[in-house]
Amino acid sequence: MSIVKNLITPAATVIAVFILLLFLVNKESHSADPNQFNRLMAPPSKRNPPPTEDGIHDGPGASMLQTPKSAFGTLPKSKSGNYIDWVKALDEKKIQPRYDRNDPEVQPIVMDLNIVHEVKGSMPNVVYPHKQHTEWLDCSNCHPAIFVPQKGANNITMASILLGEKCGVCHGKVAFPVSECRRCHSQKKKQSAGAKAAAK
Amino acid sequence: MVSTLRSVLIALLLFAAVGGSVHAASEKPGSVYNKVKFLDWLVHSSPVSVRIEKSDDEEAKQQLKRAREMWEQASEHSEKEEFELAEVHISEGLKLMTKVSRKFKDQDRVKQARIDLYKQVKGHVEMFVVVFDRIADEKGGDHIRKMLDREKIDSLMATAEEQYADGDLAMANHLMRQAADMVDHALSNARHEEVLLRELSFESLEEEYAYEVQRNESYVMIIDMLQKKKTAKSQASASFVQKMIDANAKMRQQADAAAEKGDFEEGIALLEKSTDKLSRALRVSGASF
Ligand code: HEC
Ligand code: HEC
Ligand code: HEC
Repeated sequence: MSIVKNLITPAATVIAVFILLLFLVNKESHSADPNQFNRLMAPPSKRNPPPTEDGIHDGPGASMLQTPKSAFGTLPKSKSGNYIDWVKALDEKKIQPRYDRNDPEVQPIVMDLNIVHEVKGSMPNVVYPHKQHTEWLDCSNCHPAIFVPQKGANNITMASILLGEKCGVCHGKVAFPVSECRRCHSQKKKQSAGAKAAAK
Repeated sequence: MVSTLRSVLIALLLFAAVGGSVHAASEKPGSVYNKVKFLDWLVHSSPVSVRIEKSDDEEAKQQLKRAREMWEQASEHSEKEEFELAEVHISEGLKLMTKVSRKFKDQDRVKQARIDLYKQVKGHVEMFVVVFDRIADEKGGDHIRKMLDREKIDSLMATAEEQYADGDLAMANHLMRQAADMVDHALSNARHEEVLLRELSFESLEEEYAYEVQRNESYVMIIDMLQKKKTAKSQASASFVQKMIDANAKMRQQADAAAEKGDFEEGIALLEKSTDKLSRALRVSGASF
């Protein structure tokens, strides 16, 4: 594996699976519109093409990669993105990604803190769960470049997400796309008075 | 070039990531030919092989030569469909390349990467120590403050800085990472199983009006995207959606006119009503929420 070490900077605390996700995203993500809804509509034959045809990989290594079709066989399904529910896959231990590239023993520091963003109108509130993110990601993947860890310091709007900022840095690119409104807007309005009890 | 490097990297990482748990059916001949091709690239045109050739490290050159011989033999065996023999030579060739490349680390790049990492992790520790203090103050308790051993953090950081100044970047990074892990742990303990509510609160009607404009525009933007993707279930619903969009545009003009005159209350009321209709249009457009 030392070829690998030579090629990447130790700065990358990026986990193998994050790269796995990166590589599995359909080629549409490279076109101008980062959050294309048409991934949702891609006919089954066009979904998750093999690495040699996904428009992301080139070079002699691409044909050696396992194809999504064979790798995804037993994983829980979802309705869009690359059609795998990665959170469930991790929960059910269907995948056990290494957190550290070099050391199989390293475990992530998981933070169980939910942040509820109130939304006006009929749209349910947004629940941002740290837990499901820190199981894969390092704090520094988000703090401080994408989110300042302080109340009122981040003006998150749906428009910015659709343009590939804030949550949209990942959602629609390497994590489930914006079309799945309810996975983020998961807290019904009635409950918002007792947000504390409800968010679990 | 960069993308080639990236694909090799991803290839190898991927093997490490999925190789252990998900077994691909071995697509024999195809996969052997591919590996031969990969080894060919590695020994003849990869950056490592080029650097070895340019160097005057005789031992490394010998090893590269041996790896090339392995490729040659693997290639011959696979031509003759002797796949198992081919695999043996491929594996030997890869091992040789791994060993020899270790010596050819791109020293400058590694150093710069370590410096960048050090600065990033140091910034992370400094930021989160401040955040931790704020949370301890908010929760008003020594029991929170006890979750972070400040003396230990200070001494880790001081030693890291000394190592950094002495040029031992690996050690400096190791120590700074320890400090970062301590703060991360402390923060996740301090906020364990909490839910923070970010309430909507506006300092003025003008601010609330700005939020309403943004909310309205978010709906327009999402509906617009869905329209382009033609998710509406029928022609009838598509034209219903269009009618809503047009009505909204008019209402928005009226709201803006009111706001310009300083009547934010009226502006807000108009937008609320209009956005409400858009949200119905959105459902018709095919979004599920
Ligand atoms: C995927 C992105 C992401 C990752 C990874 C992440 N966070 Fe956050 N974090 C957020 C968001 C979003 C907020 C909310 C900011 C706001 O309120 O505007 C937040 C807020 C916080 C806050 C502020 C809570 C308060 O008391 O006000 C802290 C502390 C925090 N994060 C710590 C961490 C730590 C420690 C880690 C790593 C273990 C981490 N975060 C990883 C996205 C992330
Ligand atoms: C640095 C990348 C990144 C950012 C930024 C990010 N996420 Fe995620 N998010 C992920 C990944 C990776 C997953 C897990 C993979 C998946 O579900 O596609 C995930 C999963 C989720 C889940 C699913 C949890 C579950 O139980 O199924 C929710 C909800 C979510 N994110 C909300 C948000 C919100 C809201 C924001 C912005 C405040 C945000 N995310 C920002 C990467 C990110
Ligand atoms: C990746 C998570 C995520 C997904 C998926 C998502 N949203 Fe949002 N949404 C957010 C966040 C975060 C906010 C900002 C909340 C705040 O004001 O802090 C938001 C805000 C909004 C708002 C309020 C107006 C605004 O721009 O602040 C609307 C309306 C909205 N979303 C609609 C939708 C619809 C419709 C969908 C599905 C097509 C959707 N959202 C999918 C995270 C998400």
